[in-house]
Amino acid sequence: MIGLNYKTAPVEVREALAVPGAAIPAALARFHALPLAEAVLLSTCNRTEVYAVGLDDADAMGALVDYLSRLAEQWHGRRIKRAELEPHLYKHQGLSAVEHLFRVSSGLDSMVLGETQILGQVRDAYRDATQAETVGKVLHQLFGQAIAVGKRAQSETRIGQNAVSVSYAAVELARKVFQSLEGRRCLAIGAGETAKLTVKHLLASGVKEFVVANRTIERADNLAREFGGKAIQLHEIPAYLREMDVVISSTGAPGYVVTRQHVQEAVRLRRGRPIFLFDIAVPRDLDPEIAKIEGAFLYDIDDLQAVVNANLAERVNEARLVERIVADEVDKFRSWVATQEVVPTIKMLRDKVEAIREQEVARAFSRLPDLTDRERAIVEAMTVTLVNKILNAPTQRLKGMADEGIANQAIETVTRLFDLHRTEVEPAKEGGVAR
Amino acid sequence: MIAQLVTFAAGGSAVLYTLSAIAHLSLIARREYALLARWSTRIAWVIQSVGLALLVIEQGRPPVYSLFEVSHLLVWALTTPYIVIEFLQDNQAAGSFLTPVIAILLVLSLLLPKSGVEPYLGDQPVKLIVWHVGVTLLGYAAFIGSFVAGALYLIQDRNLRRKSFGPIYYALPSLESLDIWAGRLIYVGFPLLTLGVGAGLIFAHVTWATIWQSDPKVLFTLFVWMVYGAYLLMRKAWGWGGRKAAWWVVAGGVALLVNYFVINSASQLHRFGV
Repeated sequence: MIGLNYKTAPVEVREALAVPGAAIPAALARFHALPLAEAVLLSTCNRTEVYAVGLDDADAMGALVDYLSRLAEQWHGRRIKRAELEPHLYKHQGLSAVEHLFRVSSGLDSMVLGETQILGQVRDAYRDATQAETVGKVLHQLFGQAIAVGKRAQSETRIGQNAVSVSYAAVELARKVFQSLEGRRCLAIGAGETAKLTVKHLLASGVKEFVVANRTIERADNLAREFGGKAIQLHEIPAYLREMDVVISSTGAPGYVVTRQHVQEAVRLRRGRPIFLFDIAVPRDLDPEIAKIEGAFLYDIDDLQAVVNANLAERVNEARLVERIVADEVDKFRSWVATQEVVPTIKMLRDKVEAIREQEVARAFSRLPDLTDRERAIVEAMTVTLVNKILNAPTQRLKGMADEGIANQAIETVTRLFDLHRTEVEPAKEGGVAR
Repeated sequence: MIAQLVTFAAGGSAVLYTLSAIAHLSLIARREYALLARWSTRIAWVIQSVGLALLVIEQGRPPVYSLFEVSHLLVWALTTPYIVIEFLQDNQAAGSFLTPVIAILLVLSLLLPKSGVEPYLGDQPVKLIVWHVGVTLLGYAAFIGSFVAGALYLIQDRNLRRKSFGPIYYALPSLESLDIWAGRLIYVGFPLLTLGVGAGLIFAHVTWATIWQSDPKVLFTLFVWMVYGAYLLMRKAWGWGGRKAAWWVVAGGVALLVNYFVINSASQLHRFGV
């Protein structure tokens, strides 16, 4: 494989090589002109990578570098010389390329560790390449496994589980207080960008009612209309507070917009049902004293940042488990490649024995013309079972030996033992084989 | 021979439950020992069930006549629903907090007087005693569950307030669901305790022609009953919940355990005929 990502290339280079979604089929079509057996193009805003089979010689590598530089020219009208591109590129061969792809698909190589978007992008790249018919047996296996690695990382570890953005962290914290956000009410004080984003997340998690309070009612109206909520004025907040489960405040007001008394009263009326308050404004909108009230949970912007940091640390921790999954899958791939060597031999062996079986069954049936259909079916099934049972062990052993790295020796032995080069078998003399 | 097997099963399951508790606790931080946690619990449960069955066969009576026997029943009543739920939902989170309690109960029970002697009660209705102990015990199991939920509520509340986001914070469910579970379990436990105590009172009435024996355990149980009754009343009447309610549940659980382990030895009636 060959490619560049956010670690090796500045954004000017990355953007030049980013292939827009609509142009992917055309870009893939150009692989057919290269001396490659199979190829997949993975292009996101953080990376552009080509996974190809048949890259063993330097010429093919060189052709791919040219290919990449032509991408920039074609889609962005930028000329990037090979020498300019070269220092930003990384190249992996064999199993190290496999490992690289698995790390990419599991999110280990992502800018935000453990993010899951990349898995979808790998899946899309694979799908596009399959449609463009640039994928063969090896890349089918490789990408199938890469997607499996991504799924395993998500299901077996906690790498992608916790929020790594402030607005999502707020939603996640609320989930540790409320069993579910389904049907909750939420109040946004101020109509800033972070508030908007948080409201969006909250609504996506099932929050039912949404009220926005702002100094200028027009802006509140705008936000309320955008998300289907209700707009109120700042002085109306205390009256609404008792019905609210989640409060997000982000005004530019110099003093406290909500005081301890307001919340105290609300909590009293809520009879211990907790209320969750986020203060993402600087200077703060919510009186820090609110945190002392039982049943009120107050978080300021620093607290949310701390959650994000803790979550990131947790992801770094989980990454070690993901590394293990990657190593495990790389080994599986290696063993798949190894067994591929013996697949033709296994096929020859099976074909030969199958031909003998068919021939002998036909011979036996011609000698026993009185057999009923049922009896014929039984005899036929018996021969199939016989062949399968006898061939099972050699098939497994052949794969096992290939896995141990002695494929050639295994192939040689089996070929000689079963005389596999003389493939022609006498044709069955008589027909009438019951099927 | 059977007696030895019973002791062996009790000891073996205690060791396995301790292992399971350690494995479950490690799950809070890492998932490495998930299989060990699951299977040690299951195997411990099987061994314990066999032990209980052997005990019944050996004695030819229900295992309700010593604190050791009753503790085993109690642990069994706690683990059986957990194992079923864990199997159905494939979720081991509750185990991290339940198995330590189970292990402690079981290890403590090993230190308690073992063999119970069936008290001579003439022609009295022995079945009532079995009902009295059995039903009360189920109530205890539910209350211990609520005790765990309440304690976890307080831990999670503290995590949220101190903004300490460690592994326990991630492992625990939301405050609201802990509150709901504590309440549910008390809703289940309270009628069971009431029925169990009722059976005891009827027994006393039939046996001693009085329903009121001024016995410390009877008095203390009445107190525990009122603690839980008050909780349910406040919950029903004003939708009580939150941190104070969690403290209440924890206090109730402590009272229950004190009643079980401490008050019991001061009681004349409930001494299991030593």
